[in-house]
Amino acid sequence: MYYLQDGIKINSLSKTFADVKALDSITLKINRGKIVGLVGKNGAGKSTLVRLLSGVMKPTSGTATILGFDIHSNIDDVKRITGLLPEEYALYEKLSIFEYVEFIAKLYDLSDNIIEDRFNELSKKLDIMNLRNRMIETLSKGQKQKVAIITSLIHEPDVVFFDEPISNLDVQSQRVVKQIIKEYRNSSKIIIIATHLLSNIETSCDDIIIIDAGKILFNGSIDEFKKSHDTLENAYLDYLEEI
Amino acid sequence: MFFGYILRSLFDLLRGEIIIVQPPISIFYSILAMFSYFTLFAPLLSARVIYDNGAKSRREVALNTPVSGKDLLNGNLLSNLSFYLPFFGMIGTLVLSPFIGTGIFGPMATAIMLFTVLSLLIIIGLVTGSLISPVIFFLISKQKNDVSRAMVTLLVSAMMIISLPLLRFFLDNTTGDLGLITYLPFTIAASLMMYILYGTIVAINPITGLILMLVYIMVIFVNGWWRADSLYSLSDEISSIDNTEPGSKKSRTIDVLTSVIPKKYRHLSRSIIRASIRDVEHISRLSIGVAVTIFMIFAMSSRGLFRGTNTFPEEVELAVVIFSLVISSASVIFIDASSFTIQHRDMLTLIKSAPDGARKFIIAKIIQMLYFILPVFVTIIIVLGKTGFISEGNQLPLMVIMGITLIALICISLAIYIISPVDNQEDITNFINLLFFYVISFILATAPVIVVIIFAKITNYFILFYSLILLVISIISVFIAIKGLDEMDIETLNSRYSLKFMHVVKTLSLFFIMWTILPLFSLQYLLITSDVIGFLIISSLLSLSIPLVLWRYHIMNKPVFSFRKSDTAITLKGLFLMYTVAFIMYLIVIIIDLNSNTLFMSINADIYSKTSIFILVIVVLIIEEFIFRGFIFDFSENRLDGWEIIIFSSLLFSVTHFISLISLINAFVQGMILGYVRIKTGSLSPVILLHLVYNITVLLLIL
Repeated sequence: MYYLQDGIKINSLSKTFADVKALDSITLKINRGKIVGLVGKNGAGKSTLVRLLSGVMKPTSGTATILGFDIHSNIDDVKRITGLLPEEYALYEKLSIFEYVEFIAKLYDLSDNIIEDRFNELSKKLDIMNLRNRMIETLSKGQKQKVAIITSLIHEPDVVFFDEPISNLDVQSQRVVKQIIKEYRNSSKIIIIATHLLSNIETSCDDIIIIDAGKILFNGSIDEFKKSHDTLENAYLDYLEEI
Repeated sequence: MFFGYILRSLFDLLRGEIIIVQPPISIFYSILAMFSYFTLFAPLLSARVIYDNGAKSRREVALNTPVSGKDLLNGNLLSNLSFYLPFFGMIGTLVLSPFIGTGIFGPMATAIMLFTVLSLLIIIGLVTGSLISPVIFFLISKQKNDVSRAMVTLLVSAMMIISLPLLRFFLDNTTGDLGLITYLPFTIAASLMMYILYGTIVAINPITGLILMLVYIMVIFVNGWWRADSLYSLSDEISSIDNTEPGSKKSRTIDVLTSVIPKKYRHLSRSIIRASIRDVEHISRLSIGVAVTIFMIFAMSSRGLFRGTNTFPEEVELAVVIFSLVISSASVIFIDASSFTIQHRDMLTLIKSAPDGARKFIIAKIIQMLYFILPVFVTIIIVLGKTGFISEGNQLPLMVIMGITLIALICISLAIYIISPVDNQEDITNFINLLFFYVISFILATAPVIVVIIFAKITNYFILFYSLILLVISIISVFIAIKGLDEMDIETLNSRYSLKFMHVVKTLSLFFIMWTILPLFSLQYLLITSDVIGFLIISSLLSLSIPLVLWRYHIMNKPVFSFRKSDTAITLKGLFLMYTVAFIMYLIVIIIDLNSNTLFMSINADIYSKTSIFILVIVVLIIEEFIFRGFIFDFSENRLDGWEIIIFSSLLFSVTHFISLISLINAFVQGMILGYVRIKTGSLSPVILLHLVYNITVLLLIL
């Protein structure tokens, strides 16, 4: 079956904005069951790559397949099997948490029962179950981030893209998100975490992709990257110096 | 057509009859009333932005510095002045120009007085609006629940409405006691300004007018200034936490009302409807829409400002109602669509990440807008029917027409805002969208109006025909919106079409300014010297050629005149083509037996000498080349494809040469040939030469 084939295959993918090359002919392969950290400076092209792979944007040239689905010809399938937590998000301020989650879930054509079950499960994990009927405009930044995480997972995607997932969260919630990520590790799903904070991925990721100025500098396991260094941060700084 | 009309009336004016027939003075007043009303409204609408979330954080940053609330108020005022003063000045000058040259003071004095009073009016309106708008929003944000918030906006709108009967009252009783006015709220501004104008222009009582104006400004200014700090403070956020129970009465009502929506979109539409019901802005927009409708009907009908005149025939009244309804609903729809892309820009990412999310969301959004706007305007029509503004028989046809127009306007506005989305910072995009949308709204408003006036009623055939056309337009717009959202780059908010669209509208606005407004200002030279040819040459050279030459030379870094030997062949080829086309057109004219005046611009040779006509034609053609083949081509370079530029410039070229259909086609084809030569040679000299030889030939033939 199509579906069980390999994970994400990217073939010379490029994206240009006006004169700026955000992604410069990227070729990559990510296997199923991996949790990958996508690391780079601000403006390195992380968000662009995530948006291209989740079907939100179209590439200037090149192709990619997600679990066998092509981002050009099977765009709706790609959107169905991927979940996206965008870096910047705006929620409907005048809806309650549940109404908002329901709104996004209905875009994925989920039935009422499934929405109810998934919402209860996720909101319990993220500890916002008691806020179900609270208006979004009254929430704090961290609470809003949790709502956005719920909407990105509501349709049980096989591939999840988290763009800066824990930047706004308190320490407790950070642990919860890491917990959720860990649970995914045991399934055959793919999680890609785009971040500029190395501490976010050191403990939870298997692989690391380092991206700079639209080009892939490194793609491999975290252990391989660390080599003899004690922390990821030192390895990263040394690596940048070498180049 | 509009540009053409203005230009033609300018020519008429120059043909010797300096004083044109004076339109009735009541029209003058109603135009001014409308004008001052919208000057007041502009800052009110822009102040809305003060209270959105983006502005909240900006306010936070500003207040963290030694900046005070009063400084913010001043800043807001200044930005309103700098943005709206030129805009309204432009429109006001255009609208009121037919009145120049009448009255007891002579054309020159009247013109200067009109300009002065107009500027004064704009400044008063903007200052008042800027100072009062935070007060209103302050009042709204202090309310605890939706109902009282809606009440405040309704009250504000109601005050705007009652300012009109007051205006009428003051026009009728100019010598009466006016002590009450100073105590009435700001909404009487329009009527007050009318009194001042009435007093100063017609010179019945300028002193009273002046004193009143000063008192009025004082009251408003002191009030706004005094409140400034609390207005901009950060403590006024709405703190009420609304718990939304799923089984509540409100929620159930919405469920019942929305159960007619097709199942596929029911849930999505329901969510957006819920969100917008809780948003006080939606409600305030609607009440402002109602206010604008009533205002317009009052300002234009024989039951309102025109009460002194004979009652209009039924069809004219109906036309007024249709026009008012379409324009006011367009305002409501436009504001709704514009705030939607400002606020939900980042949410579009999530919507696009769902399978087929663009289509689902756009359709749900259309349903939501319909749910809000349709019932309000149906109610207005019913009320108008009950109060006798429209007859029983016209009520249903009017509802059908309004319904289909609303659907079309909603679809078009969404398409515009998806193709060219608005960022908080981009006032110019919003302005261009507004301009484009209002042109469409005016077309949609005038079509039924013309039919009603000609046939005295709305015929069934017309309803069917019109509905079909609008339905097709709506469906196309929906497709454009969905495709646009699909293709939109979330990063830059652009899509392939949006850049081209923006460019075309931007060029059109600049063209409009060049072609009509700048020469209007040099009208004063004419009024002083009455030297027509000199006026045209001087004004055109001063206002157009010099800036364009400077622009091409310094900014585009291109030589102004250059002619290479290699350009000769293509120039000769162009000339041959132009002669051929003109000859074919001439043959067509002869075959269908038309006057040759329908092909070429006719010039009355009795008034002017041949030499002056030759000079005039040469000057005009050089300016035309600077605009059509110079400015438009250089400005569109890299933004449009070559053939797109040629068609675009030829379209404008032909519209300004409109005398008859055949002249339109002729000018279009000639424009294409000139454009082709311009693209091939990259220089202006060959096209100027071509145009010159061609025009001289034509002149020699017809003179």
